[in-house]
Amino acid sequence: MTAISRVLVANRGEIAVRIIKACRKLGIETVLAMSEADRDTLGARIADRAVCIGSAPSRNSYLMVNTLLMAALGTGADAVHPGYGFLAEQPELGESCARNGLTFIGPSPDSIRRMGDKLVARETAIDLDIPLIPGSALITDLAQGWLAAEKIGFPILLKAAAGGGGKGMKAIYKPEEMETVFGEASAEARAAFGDDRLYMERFIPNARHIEVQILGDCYGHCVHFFERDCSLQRRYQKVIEEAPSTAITNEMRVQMCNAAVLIAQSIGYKTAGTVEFVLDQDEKRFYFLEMNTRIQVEHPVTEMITGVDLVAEQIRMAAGERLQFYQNDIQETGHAIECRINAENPEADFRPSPGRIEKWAVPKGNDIRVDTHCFEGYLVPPYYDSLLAKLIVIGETRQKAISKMTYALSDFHVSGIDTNIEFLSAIMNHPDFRSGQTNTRWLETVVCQQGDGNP
Amino acid sequence: MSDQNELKVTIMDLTQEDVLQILKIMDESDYERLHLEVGEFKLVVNKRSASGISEGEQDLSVPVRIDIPKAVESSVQIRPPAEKADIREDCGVANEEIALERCIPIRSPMLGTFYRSPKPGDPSFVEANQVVDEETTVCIIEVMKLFSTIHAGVRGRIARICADDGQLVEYNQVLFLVEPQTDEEES
Repeated sequence: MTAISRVLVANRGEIAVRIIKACRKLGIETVLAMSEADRDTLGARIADRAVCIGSAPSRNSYLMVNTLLMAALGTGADAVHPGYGFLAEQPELGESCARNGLTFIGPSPDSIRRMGDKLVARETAIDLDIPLIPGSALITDLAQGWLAAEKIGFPILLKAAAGGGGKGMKAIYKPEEMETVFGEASAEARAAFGDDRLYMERFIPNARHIEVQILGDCYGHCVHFFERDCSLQRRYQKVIEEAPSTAITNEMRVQMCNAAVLIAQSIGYKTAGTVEFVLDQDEKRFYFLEMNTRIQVEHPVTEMITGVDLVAEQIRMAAGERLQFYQNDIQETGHAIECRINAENPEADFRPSPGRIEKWAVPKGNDIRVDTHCFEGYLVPPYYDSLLAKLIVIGETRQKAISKMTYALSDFHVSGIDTNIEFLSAIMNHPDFRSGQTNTRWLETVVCQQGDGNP
Repeated sequence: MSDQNELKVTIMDLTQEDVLQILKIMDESDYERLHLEVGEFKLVVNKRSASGISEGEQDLSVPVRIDIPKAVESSVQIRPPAEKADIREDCGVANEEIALERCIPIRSPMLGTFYRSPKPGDPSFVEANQVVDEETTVCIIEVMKLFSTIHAGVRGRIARICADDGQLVEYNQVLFLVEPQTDEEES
């Protein structure tokens, strides 16, 4: 481990801006790797240097390990930050960095592999006596599938071992569907991940998604920064995140957070990571779901309630510094909410809306934070995700935070492209959301009316 | 000669940090050329434009003030006049060769290290003024020990070599400018 003086930012959009700002704060130079479509971006303007790595499509640019390595080595960078998505959870990038004397700002390739394989991750949790969603081990054929399904009971979620983040999952509601869905799931997993291994989990109808932020150094120390509640999802993509969660007891909070630290420590995890749990609201029990070995989109809500700069800490940990926090030093105050502002049209099935932003006016205030790469006149490209900005507020209580978010959304003005701002406001005003009566299916079934209407 | 694209600054005292800051301002602005005089030293910087070809001269002159922090002790690392010629290696130079406007750029298809010859010490694949056709190998681009041979893709004469041997080049960066041959010239 050596001190870091120049980072190659191997990502784009708002997280690239976020990383550059954290580096600036630490006195570290930045080089942005950008695709052709990202030449005129905020990140390219604020980085110390920007190099063009390829044409617009991610497979020609942001997913090219050798090119990114070359960009780092050729510009004198001594570290690479992968951001989230793209190659952040591909062990090849970390391995290539290690082989070439570059510091990868993330965990070891071994940690990434172990948590990236969802079956191995489940084994790790089992070994540590951390509760797991009732489920199966590897299922290699339909016969095994039937055996597992009998034990677990329908409805079932069939998952790809190489999946994660909401990808590679299929629900089987009735035994009659089993054969067809099983066949589809294998084929899709093979096509998407090059790995058709499957496993099953019980489908939990009234669930919350609760995740714990952890941070580890290379000396075996690990702390948590409490939990986030990310239950408002549409097609397994998070839309609104909060910290802390109001759906768990304090006892559960302690158990989940300790379990998260335990998992991280058991694999010698360093830098920032998130351990995800599913809360069964009917059974009032929580289960380990998976671990994400990267900085996450929603990290700001944790930063707001604890005062930590997670990206700066991530970089420090990668540089070999010792964790500067004891668990007791970390306090949470207030309630934070984040809304993801996307370039999409909720009324047209959330169709993405790339194009030139004519007006871009973000809300301002003491307890309002906007993480974005957008500006007036910016051409939102069609090649990447539709995230324009993260709008985060903090209030003394959840109710105050909701009021603040309502105000902030009303003061967020974008024209030239469609956004989901009104959709988010409608959620803020919804009685279920305000009273905290939601779960992971709520957004789709109640608000989007795509399900059967039963919460 | 001053134009919209040139920023002229004359000050008496300058630190290395000042120079870096000026260059940063230059980089973030739309100016393409900087002409800086400090005592007896002169610094001329040309920004490389995306196409490597001059956009042409403009008649307007726009005087600009820059606030430069007052100097501290350290001396300025600016090359003395004798080496000035080396500074102007940039391909984005807008100068007297009108032919450059007719040139076709050969762009790098990837980010990597640009090599002008097959191995160190070998003669270059091509030299300035050399006639090439579509199949002519003009350079090698290396990405993490994987070498790609780049062919001219056009027919004509190498008017300018725009990258240095061993330099990191970006995706789409102009490597060579080729003056296309017309039918009259070919014989």
